[in-house]
Amino acid sequence: MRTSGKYKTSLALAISATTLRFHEFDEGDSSFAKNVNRSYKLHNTCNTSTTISVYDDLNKITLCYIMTQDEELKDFLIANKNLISILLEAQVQIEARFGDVPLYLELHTDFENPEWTKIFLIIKNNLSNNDALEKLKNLFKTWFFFKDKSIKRLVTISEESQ
Amino acid sequence: MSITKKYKNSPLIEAICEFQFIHKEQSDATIPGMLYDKIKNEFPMKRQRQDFFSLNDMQPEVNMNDLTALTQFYNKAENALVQVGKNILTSNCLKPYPHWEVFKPMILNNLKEYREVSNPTSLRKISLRYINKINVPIKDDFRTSEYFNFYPHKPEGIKEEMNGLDATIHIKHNDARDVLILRIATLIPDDKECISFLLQVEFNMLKPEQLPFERTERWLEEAHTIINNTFESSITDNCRKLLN
Repeated sequence: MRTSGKYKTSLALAISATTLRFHEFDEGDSSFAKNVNRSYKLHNTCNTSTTISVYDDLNKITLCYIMTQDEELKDFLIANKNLISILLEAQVQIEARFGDVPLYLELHTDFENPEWTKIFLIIKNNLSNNDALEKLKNLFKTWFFFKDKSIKRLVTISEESQ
Repeated sequence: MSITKKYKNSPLIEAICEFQFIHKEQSDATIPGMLYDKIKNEFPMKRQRQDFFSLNDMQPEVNMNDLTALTQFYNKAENALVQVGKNILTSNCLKPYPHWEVFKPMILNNLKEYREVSNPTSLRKISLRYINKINVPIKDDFRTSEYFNFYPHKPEGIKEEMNGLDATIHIKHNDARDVLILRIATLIPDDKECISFLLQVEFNMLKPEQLPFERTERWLEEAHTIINNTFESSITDNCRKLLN
């Protein structure tokens, strides 16, 4: 099937305060429909890059978490790359136990000891204190990443019943 | 050897060559240690990646047995590394990229050493991936088409403004044994004065046992040429000015 066609459009893309405009998009033709079944599964699922995952996953983190200190958190996560995939996994693990609740990331530094900087992941929820605590205990017991001392040194998870 | 255009402000942040292997016997946990013994003069710094991933692209539900962790060996300057895991070997170069004339021998040497310690029967996959980050200064009336020849568009019926983009295309080569994957995306900008674009070009050999080890070098040369041509085709002269 030949699906060649020329589409022209203009649209706006806003990043920060600036407007970006795409003016022309030409869709080439091709035997796309014929080939697509062969190629769509082939996307690289192995994360063997040491750089790009940081940028991609940082974008995902901004979607999963509410971060009031956006810039500081970004710098901290770039400096501690291992935390990025763990925070993304944490969102999945927390959602499985607490449901779709707002998750906050906060960065805290001890000014008397600037080397002590830590992320606090706060699970806001409407559960009773006991229920929330039980779910939090379950998370710590069953999710092995938080048994790692180097992670615990940098991230604390807590819940806040509203 | 292909001729590569060298930019003064090279946008390349990482180049990766990944091999996945088929072994006759079950993977041996001592392989990373044996490989380290062979390459420790060049890559003395050991690290362990915390994240796990699956080598099985086709299986939606990941089996724990398919997960692999990567052991990393960095050079002293920390701008090149080798990663090894279950049936996988990667050679990575970070910024500043030393160019193909240095990267290719590094890839081939790491492959040779891995084959000596692990004795794989064949190749399951090869991937050569170039990750570029291009910072474009923000200005009024910015047009993506001024800098790139490849980008997605928004359907006309959607009036709201975009605040990012991410598009990937797959192009088959060599009767679909190989696939070129081209991706453009916006990244978290380095600063408020610019927009950061990812332009990733990746060439993959995806058919297991189709490429003998002896033809790896030729495949790498071809892949590098295609990646280079694709990159040049994807950017405009305005973009080249930024890189020079």
